[in-house]
Amino acid sequence: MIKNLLTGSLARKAGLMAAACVLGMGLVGCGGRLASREMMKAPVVPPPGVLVTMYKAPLDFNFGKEGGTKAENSRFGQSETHYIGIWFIRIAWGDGSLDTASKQGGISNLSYADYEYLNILGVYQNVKFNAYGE
Amino acid sequence: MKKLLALAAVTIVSLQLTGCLVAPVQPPMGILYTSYQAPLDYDQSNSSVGSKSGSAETMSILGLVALGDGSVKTAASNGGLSTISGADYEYLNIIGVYQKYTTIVHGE
Repeated sequence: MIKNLLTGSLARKAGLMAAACVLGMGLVGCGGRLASREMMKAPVVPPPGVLVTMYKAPLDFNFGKEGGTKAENSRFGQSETHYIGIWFIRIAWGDGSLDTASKQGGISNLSYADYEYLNILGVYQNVKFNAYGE
Repeated sequence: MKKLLALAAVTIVSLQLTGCLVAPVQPPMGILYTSYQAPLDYDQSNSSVGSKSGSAETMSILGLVALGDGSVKTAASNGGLSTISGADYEYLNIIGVYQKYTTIVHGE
């Protein structure tokens, strides 16, 4: 039985099943996320794509503060970070702080924030933080 | 043929077991089909329920390509909101082939 598991058709079947699992996880981009620290982490992350991901999503979701959050704001500021990874050469840089985004947009009173995420084959990733306020 | 079917079944199950959405509140998801709305903003202590709502969405097809604008800015703009008092989200997943995430904001 053990010999069969290791060398026989059972081992082959197990291998195929494992490959299918990896493929399944890879297809939805989550295997990569679980295994990799280079993937996007945020309070809200919509379903990603393996080939191309390009979406905007909420960064701030606490709108109940002080009776409501102003939706229409006159000022907008942006900050961003970049990532390039090919094999073991992985470089990430940028200033994606909300402080920088606020200063860039001349915002003194921040209402809320969104983010934009771009991922092309995992080779290039870009995150932009959009701050809205007055 | 049987092997192929088994392989396809395992692949589909794996697709679902990985649960790709990340959100502050995530109800249990189905394997074949998931469609629910859940709170995005769960601190409602100081806010009233608004009369207007707006939404913005992103989608992922086959887990290969993900596109869309699910930002609060766009959702509020689509609903004509000037003040946001709360937010929910909607998630749809059909066998991992088609996934849709929608941000829904409420307010005045």
